[in-house]
Amino acid sequence: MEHNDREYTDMLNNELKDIEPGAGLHSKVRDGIARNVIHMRRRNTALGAVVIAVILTMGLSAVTPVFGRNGTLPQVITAMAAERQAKKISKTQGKSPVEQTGTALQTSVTTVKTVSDSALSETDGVLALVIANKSGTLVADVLKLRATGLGWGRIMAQLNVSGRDIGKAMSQVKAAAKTKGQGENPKPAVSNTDGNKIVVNGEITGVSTTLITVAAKTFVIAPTTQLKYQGKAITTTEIAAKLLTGKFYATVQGTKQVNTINTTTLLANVIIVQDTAEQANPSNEQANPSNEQANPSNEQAAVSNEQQKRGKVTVVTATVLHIDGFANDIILNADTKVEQVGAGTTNIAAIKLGQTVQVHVILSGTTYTAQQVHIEDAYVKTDTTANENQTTNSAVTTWQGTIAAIFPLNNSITVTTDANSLLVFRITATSVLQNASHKSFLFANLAVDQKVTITGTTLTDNSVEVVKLTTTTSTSVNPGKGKGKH
Amino acid sequence: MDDELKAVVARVHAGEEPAFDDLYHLTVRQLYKTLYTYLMTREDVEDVVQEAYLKLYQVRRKLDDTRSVPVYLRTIAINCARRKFRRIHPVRAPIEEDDVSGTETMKGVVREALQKLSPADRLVMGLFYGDQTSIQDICRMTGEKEGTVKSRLSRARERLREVIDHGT
Repeated sequence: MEHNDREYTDMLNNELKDIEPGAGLHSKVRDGIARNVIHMRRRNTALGAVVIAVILTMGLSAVTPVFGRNGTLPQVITAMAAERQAKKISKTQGKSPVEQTGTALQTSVTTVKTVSDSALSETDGVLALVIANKSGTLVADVLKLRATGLGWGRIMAQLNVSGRDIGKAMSQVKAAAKTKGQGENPKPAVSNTDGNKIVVNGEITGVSTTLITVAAKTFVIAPTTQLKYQGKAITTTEIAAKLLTGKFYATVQGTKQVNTINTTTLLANVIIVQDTAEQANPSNEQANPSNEQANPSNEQAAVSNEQQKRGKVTVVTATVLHIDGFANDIILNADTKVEQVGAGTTNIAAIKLGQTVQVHVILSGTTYTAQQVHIEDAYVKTDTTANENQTTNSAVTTWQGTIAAIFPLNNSITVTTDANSLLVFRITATSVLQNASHKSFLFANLAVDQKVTITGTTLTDNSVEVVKLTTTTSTSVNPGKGKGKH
Repeated sequence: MDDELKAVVARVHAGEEPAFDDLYHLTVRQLYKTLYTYLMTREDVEDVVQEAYLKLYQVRRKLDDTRSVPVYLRTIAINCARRKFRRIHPVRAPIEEDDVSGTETMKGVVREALQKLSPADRLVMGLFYGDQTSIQDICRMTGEKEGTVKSRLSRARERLREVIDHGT
């Protein structure tokens, strides 16, 4: 096929010879082009303006929080990345991502509860925990910042947490979840330093008359420690005997005690021995700076049964209360709030036989723990040298020694006496604290290693209720810290 | 012609505004005829010509190959014409006389024969015999395979011969 097929070429050219572009076509083309040029110029101007605005906004946003409370552009981008990671964690963790994140980050149960109780979504909750953990800030402070409407990026910048920190923490959470998925028990969550209370559930791996080890945590068993098994008292010897027959578990409520050389000991307040691990949750510690929460564990709280009981006191010790009309032991511990008409907030020592009390108890497992005791009998001031406690020995004795440790939570101290024995002294609302110049001072002014002279009465648990404590060395110490400037 | 076109394209490429008018005058006549064989109405052809030159104007600074400019222009124009044709005749079918009512109807046997061809066959016929365009360039412009273009030419010739010889 070639173009030399002239017949068709001539035929076509002949027929189309009068088909020519009109004279006006060129001007139409020029007009169209001119219109297009104007249109393009306007469009380019508008586009240029938009581009300049975007560039200016981007530039400005890098240094100024043009996104309002969300912060600068880098902060917004960081927040988006962090939120994406948190969302991923929330999805992969499945059930209770906040709690699992808390466990992975070794955050206290209280902290996790604070987040869970907040109005944050699970994704935001995970992020709040991670930011608090990485910044060393209380999660409550993070939540406060969030509540003011600040974006996560801005909160992170304020708390000096980088996106890399978040990434590392998320990896930690993922790794923990993976470990858990392989059937390994997570390590006991180590409580943070924001509280003194500790609760551990787990297997009993060792017991002596003064120490018990539960879930790899060793607690000191003090004379005041309450040991319970199936609602009844049990001795350490009986526990040791049981351990010979197989595994036993326990829930230990204790208190952290920090001495002057900054070593921490765990003092057991209540030990509840159990046959099976069913009631013993995975090893778990809790640090609780507040005395308001009587229930030791969040998980227990979820299934606990709160009740209000009223009756006359039939038995009362430093750790156990019985009231008529209620057959079970009610455990008193350092977190039990005691109030008395006419005296306001007081302590366990104010509970006397025969008083009518209203007790707010929490049933956890088989244990009833008093959260609050309200003594309806009005407080009557008595002579400080008088023996008020009918359960104590009537003799008022005097001891001299050196303060070995101070336990602010239950207003008690241990004193190494001159006879070289360690005694627990309980300071009550009626105890008189004086310095060598006979000037009164507060419990908070006591300091370890102070020499003291104490008069008091011995209680049935061998602790001493202080009638009068006199320091024989200077008590002029900085309240609360003990080593402050004068 | 080629030398003249080459010089004009160089001026257009250099940004000389009047050079585009020269390019228009050098190319519009042939383009008009080609488009007419496809659309067969002056109004539609003029619309397509305007659109094609506008598009060429937008890329004028990129024109540097004189050989490709006419091919490029016709490719643009054919695509514009196809779009235009689809808008006018949504159902693809050979144009009957009734379909071009109100338009300039060809007179004579050859015009009648051309009208009875399909637009695509007409276009290939116009490009090959009218513009003396090679088969390869037609393939480039229409996006069709060489075999298809040759079939269209063969069919168009056969139909044209039939009409001329027998008047049907």
